[in-house]
Amino acid sequence: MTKELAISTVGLTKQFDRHIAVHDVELQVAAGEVYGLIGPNGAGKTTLIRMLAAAEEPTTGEIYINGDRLLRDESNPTLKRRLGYLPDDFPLYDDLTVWDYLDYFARLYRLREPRRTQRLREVLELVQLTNKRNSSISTLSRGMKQRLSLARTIIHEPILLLLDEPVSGLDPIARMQFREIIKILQEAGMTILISSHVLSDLAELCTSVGIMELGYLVESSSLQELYQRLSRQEIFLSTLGSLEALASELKNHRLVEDCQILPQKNSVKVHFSGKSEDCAELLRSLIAAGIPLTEFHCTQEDLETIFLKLGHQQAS
Amino acid sequence: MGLTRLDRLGEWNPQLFRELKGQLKRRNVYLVVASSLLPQLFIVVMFEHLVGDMPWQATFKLLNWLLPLLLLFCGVYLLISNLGNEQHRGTLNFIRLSPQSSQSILSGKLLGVPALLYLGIALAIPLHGVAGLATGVPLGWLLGVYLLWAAGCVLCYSTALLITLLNRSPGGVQAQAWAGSFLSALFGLFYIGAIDSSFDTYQSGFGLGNWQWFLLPLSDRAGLVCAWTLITLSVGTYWIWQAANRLFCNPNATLVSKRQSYWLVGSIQVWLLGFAVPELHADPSDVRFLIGSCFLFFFNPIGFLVLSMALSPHRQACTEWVRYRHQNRSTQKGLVKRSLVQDLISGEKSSALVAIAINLLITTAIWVPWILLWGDETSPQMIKTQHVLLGWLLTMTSTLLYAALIELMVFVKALRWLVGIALTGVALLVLQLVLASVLGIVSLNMPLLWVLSPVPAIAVAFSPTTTIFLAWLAQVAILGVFTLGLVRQLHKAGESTSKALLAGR
Repeated sequence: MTKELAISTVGLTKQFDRHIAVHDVELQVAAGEVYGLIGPNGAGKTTLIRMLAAAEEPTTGEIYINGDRLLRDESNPTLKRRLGYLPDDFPLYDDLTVWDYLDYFARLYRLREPRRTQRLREVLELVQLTNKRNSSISTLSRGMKQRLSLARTIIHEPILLLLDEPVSGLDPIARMQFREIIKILQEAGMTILISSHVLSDLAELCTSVGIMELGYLVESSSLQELYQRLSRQEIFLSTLGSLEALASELKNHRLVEDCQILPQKNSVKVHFSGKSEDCAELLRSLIAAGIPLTEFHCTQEDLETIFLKLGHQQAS
Repeated sequence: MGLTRLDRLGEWNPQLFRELKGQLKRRNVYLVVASSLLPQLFIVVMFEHLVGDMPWQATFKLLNWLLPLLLLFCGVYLLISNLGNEQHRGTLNFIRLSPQSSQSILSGKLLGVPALLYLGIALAIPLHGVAGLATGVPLGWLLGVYLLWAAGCVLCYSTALLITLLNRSPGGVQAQAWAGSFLSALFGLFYIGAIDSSFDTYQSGFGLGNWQWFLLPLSDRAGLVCAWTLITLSVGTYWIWQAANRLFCNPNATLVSKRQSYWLVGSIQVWLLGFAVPELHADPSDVRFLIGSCFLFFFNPIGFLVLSMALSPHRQACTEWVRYRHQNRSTQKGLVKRSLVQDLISGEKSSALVAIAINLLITTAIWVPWILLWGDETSPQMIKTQHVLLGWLLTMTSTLLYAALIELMVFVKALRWLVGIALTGVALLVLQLVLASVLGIVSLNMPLLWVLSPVPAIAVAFSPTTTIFLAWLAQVAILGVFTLGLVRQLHKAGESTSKALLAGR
């Protein structure tokens, strides 16, 4: 193992009654990564994250955070200070001001003056709530509350952040702000595990991805590797002439796997297994065949398609 | 200056700091000061006009009841609604995840949530003290009363925290808070009444009769009684505090751990025994023998029923224990492999039946010497020692029987079963009572009914030894059936899912 592991689980299982929510999960996340956890509702993502945050006790199995065993029953103050956990619901104290709320949690996590005030300022600036520091929490918008919760999660400078559906229910701007903050935190060296339904967000943020289904971790690899392995190259083509002519011409090419006509977009989509040179060759041959092309666009299948494809394989 | 001191307090206990900061707003403090001082002024003026010659005594009497009742009623209400709301909203979970100990959080709540109430009462203490001294109450007695108030409040407040942590059903926090505060006020009425009347009795010089605890003459020394009450309440608070901390750390834990239960039962039995210890060469008709048998044969079975409920692990924990015990055992960090016996004696999730049996043995060890003191061959009208021992044997078996039943109920899935068992139990008890009242003492000739009740010792008093022995055998047989049923249920719960799937369950 070249990189140090921030999270490592061995045979992690959680059973609720007869239902096994998390089944024998061996999760390994290297330090400094942003690890995205994808899966349909009820796949066990939240239970897994709760166990990693010591909010839920595993039925069996072990969790190691930076090599140290995480146990729930013994109060484990040093290890607890390394973790930051943001659950999908984030209840706050409406009677406190933003500053007092963060100050309270900074004290709970044993931050001492003058470091405490300094850290509070840093964090407020990071989540762009400095101008709201004296406002009551009840007056904040949902996006602001979400950012305040994130501030609470990172106030004690954890080295591992566990974020459960952090962007659900946020508008696009708030979502973008949140993404920016996560990027800054990653640059600061935190390891971040993030679960989300918004796969485009994950694709932009993550370095690695894990896919959960029915309690199993069915896929866990770096994003790059995942694209390489599971994502096929796609080419979108449009023409002034007939789509059928274009399609029949495409089918003659040996590297074209399949060809699909998209009448509403007036274009054709093909899956292509060649390299960039082969693409250029394909384009040249099409033009040579006299087809009036208006668009020739190479792209990769995105995370969502990969996810849906895997889900399909699971079901069958 | 005041702020830096508060700040230092916050370093020591962040929870207390948060509660104080939330409540000690200037407006609130003024309000509390006014609503404490104005009624005091009103009381003084009113009694001066109404009572005439003894205004101090009336003031003292009134405050002596009013202040502790307010402390109990309002304090319990505030604590339950505060903690209940935090638990309901889910904010408590974040605090749980912080590196603070449960002791520090709960003590912060206990000291901080009723802070304004403490302030208001503290402002009234000088008037109470002065009125007491002017009435001729000794200073030592006054200090004793304040200590007793404090001990009673801490006991009630810890209980309030424990009950709030126990009740995790959504909603109903307000109703629970009201119920809790009314109950604690009821306790307060008895408690203050006892303090008040014992003061009058001791003042009159008569004492409280022949009341002893391990031959300590508690009846005629007020200081001793005060110290004894304080120690008793502190030990009670200690156990409740332990349970509250356990529940705070892990809401799915049992109220007490098995190891704790041994100490708990030991301490309660020794405490109870203290009331029943007779002097050497005491008359067999001594009332202490009666008190002792009441404790042993009536209080203990009920106490053990409560203990079995507190010790029975949740179904989830039990399932995890039987299903994954072999896996967890080999991966335990302590490297020492836990055997089944060790698990049953001290494990967190294991079945509680063995622990109940050990607790019964502890109780036996504490009480048997006392039972042997009964043996007075010269008094044939008395119940013989062997009968008492036999009675205790029956009580132990029936206690185990009920403990097994309680654990079995953990596994009964369908609610109708649960209702069915509860109804059967109630019907049996009612039947006994009806038989007893209609047929008079005749029903006592049917020892089987009593033997299967939680208080089987009654049967002993009125039946020949052979009948009792047969009844005991019946008990053991039923216990055996229940235990087998429990073991079967545990085995079933421990099966892998695929096995259950293949078996078509």
